[in-house]
Amino acid sequence: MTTPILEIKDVSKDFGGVQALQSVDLTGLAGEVHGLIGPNGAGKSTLIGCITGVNRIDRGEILFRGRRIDHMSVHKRARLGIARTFQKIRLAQQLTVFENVAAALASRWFRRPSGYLRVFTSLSSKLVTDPVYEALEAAGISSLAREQVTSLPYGKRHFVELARALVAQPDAILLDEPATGLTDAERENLMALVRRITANGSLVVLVEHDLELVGRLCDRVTVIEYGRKIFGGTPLDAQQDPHVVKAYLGSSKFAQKEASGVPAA
Amino acid sequence: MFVQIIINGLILASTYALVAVGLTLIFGVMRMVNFAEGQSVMIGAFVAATAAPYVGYIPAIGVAMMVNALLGVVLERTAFRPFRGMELNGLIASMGMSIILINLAELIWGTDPRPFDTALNNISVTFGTVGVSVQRLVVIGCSLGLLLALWWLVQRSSLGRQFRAVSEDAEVASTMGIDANRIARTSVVIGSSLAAAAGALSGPVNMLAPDMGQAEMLNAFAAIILGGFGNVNGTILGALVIGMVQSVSAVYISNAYSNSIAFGLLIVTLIFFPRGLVPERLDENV
Amino acid sequence: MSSAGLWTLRLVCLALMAALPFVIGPFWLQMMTQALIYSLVVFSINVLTGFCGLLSFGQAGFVGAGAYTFGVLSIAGAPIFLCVLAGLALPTLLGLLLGLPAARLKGHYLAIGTLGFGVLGAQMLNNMVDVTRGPMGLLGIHSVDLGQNGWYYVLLVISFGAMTGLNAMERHSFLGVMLKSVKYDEISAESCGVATFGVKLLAFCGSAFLAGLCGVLLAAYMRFLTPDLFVPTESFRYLMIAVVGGAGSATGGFIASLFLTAMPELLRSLGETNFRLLVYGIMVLFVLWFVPGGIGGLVERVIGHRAGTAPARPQTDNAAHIAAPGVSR
Repeated sequence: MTTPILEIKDVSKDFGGVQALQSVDLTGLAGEVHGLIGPNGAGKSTLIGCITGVNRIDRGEILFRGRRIDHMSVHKRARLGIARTFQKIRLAQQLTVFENVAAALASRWFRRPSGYLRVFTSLSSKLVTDPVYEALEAAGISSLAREQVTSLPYGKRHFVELARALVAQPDAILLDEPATGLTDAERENLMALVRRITANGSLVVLVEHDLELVGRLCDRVTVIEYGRKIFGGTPLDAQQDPHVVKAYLGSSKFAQKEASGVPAA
Repeated sequence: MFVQIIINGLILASTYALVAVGLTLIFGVMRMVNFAEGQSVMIGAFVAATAAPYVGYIPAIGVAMMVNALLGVVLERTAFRPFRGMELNGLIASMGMSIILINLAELIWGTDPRPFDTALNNISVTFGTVGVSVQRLVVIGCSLGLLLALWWLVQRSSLGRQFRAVSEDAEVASTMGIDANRIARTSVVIGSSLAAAAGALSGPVNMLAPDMGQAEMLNAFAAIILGGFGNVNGTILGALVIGMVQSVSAVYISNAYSNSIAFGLLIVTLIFFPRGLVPERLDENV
Repeated sequence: MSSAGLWTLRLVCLALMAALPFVIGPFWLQMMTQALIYSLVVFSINVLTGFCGLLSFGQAGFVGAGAYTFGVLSIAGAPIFLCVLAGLALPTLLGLLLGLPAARLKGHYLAIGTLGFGVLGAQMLNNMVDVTRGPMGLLGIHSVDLGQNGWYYVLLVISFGAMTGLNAMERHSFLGVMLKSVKYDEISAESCGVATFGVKLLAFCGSAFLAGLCGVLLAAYMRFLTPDLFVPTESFRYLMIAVVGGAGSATGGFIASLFLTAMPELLRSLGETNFRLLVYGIMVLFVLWFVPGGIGGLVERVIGHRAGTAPARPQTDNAAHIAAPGVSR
């Protein structure tokens, strides 16, 4: 029985009269890839925002490792071990890849007050270069460390966001449409990376429209439509659920889920 | 005393309202704060003072407004249009323009304060026991007229509709065929002319100097923060509040600090309402 | 340019500046000394606006607070080190107090709010006549007697040192990364675990400290103060110098401070009228239109030293460690 990392209970969020989320439940387990899918505007990004703290929920609870976090600030939640990437890439454009990833060391260092002493650490010190390059290697972009983000193609920027999320050593990573604009090779890299992350016991929540990705990666999916959860379960079961088919899938099918580490033929 | 306070308050309020409405219009359309607005007031006052001996007072106001309209065109080209998308740079650029304008005014008119005497200053009308100079009544009357004209323009005319469309979403407005650049230029022209009127109207009440206009602009800012950036009605109300507060506090609290009372109010407001009293619609789509 | 090359360049510049007193007359030396004092408030804007992205139109308030605290205490007979301490502490405290509400303000609200602070500050200096002697000015401030040359060298060391320190902090320290991450994108900085509110407060305090230092030195050097020195127009002037130098570059701020103090005086020698403000305004517009990075940006391009060059990949022999699953425990 795997432990729940993230528990979202009966969460509702109103945006100036528009009910963006209504009584949504979701449980993310350790080591699982949990897909969050649904039509455009259904509320998936809003839910991610609620988990990270950018949006304040109106009702319900959000628990992380059994602890309520829905009153915490964004940076506090990040320091607890929740990392995310953004659908619209949010990086410091004028800074290098290295600096962008280094910024996330704050999540890691400032978990206890003594970490604040590291504020004056030089960027060349091993305290910085070791974890940053480790994350860059994992994301496969260590050769780009000294490039300015503005000079990078769009696909590579997704991986910078990923490296940023990784360096924080999070227990849960929320990926918001990380595959947009990726080449086929890059998508394979992304999938391999996601599998390595979960093999370590972390939870990955994946918001995606790419059904192949969802099918091959996700252990379970939660389907959202108009702010409500309409299905929770395996992708295979999802594509047989008539409501899901009507609301989102149509006649599309998920790709076959592979065993971890083994790409489908 | 009471009547005096009200009249003073209205005079201040109408001056601030003219400036503030111009600022809020420019902000609504261009998302930029016009830091040179105070100088527009100053130049309007000086132009009117220079023209009045030749054409009479009321026409001089018109002359000032026309000159400032041209100034508005220049401002829009130099300090606003290049900075679409980098609005804070535009703020700094308009600040740079304001400095240039102060210096130019000093070069043209000298640095010494000068009076702006009009015949109307010397005629009085009595309300009961209180005598009020016609000049002051003219200030209130003209301001009201201009504000009403502006209100009609924004709410009822097709130009106003275009203003509102560009304020809501400039990109969508251009796809609907509205020339955003022209609307931007028009907003700055109107804002500048209104500032000129404010200067020409309030000039006779005070002395003119190239560094004037700052106080009006600061109080106009306070009015906008109270009333909401881009919100014309709210801004006018805000100006009324600021004007009245200042008038009352000049009498009952302290004359020296009366200018800052509005700013104190402003700071207190911002402390509790970081987005202003009437928050702009922000689409922060994360 | 290599690191050694850069250091050589810095030392050469320093040496050139150290030689100035032997080359220029007392009037110009005085100008340069004042330029060095004001470079500190330009640095304060580098920290607040350039590194952290917070636009402030009220820096003169902090300078005035530092200057008058030093001045008033010194006339009251307090020992000099106490005057300096208080002259640094009060502005820093004000920076914290202003920062608490201001850090929650965005863009133009922040600009106007800080403008309000500056206006109020100037008014208070003018009106608190019992303490500051208001428009009559504060005369006869006690200070150390260093002589013109002495003051120049002391200020050269302080200003150059501050510039070097800020450069190092911004480019090579984690604090610099934190500040800049808040400047570029607050929301993603927060999700990286950076407490943006705290960082902004820190920026306000640090900036106020530097501005206060400028004030203290101003009071100690000039030995008299008037409230006119700290009106909002002065805040604009500092901001303009910072923008021309490139808000994000302490080096640019240093150069611009010297350049923009010297140039109007040069122009004044061409005619009686005061073109200083005109020159500043035109330069600001010019920079904003064509060279947004300011002088600092140009310097960086020429030197080839791109801000934010990252450290190189560390040499590890533990290849297996790196090839292992991404998130290590």
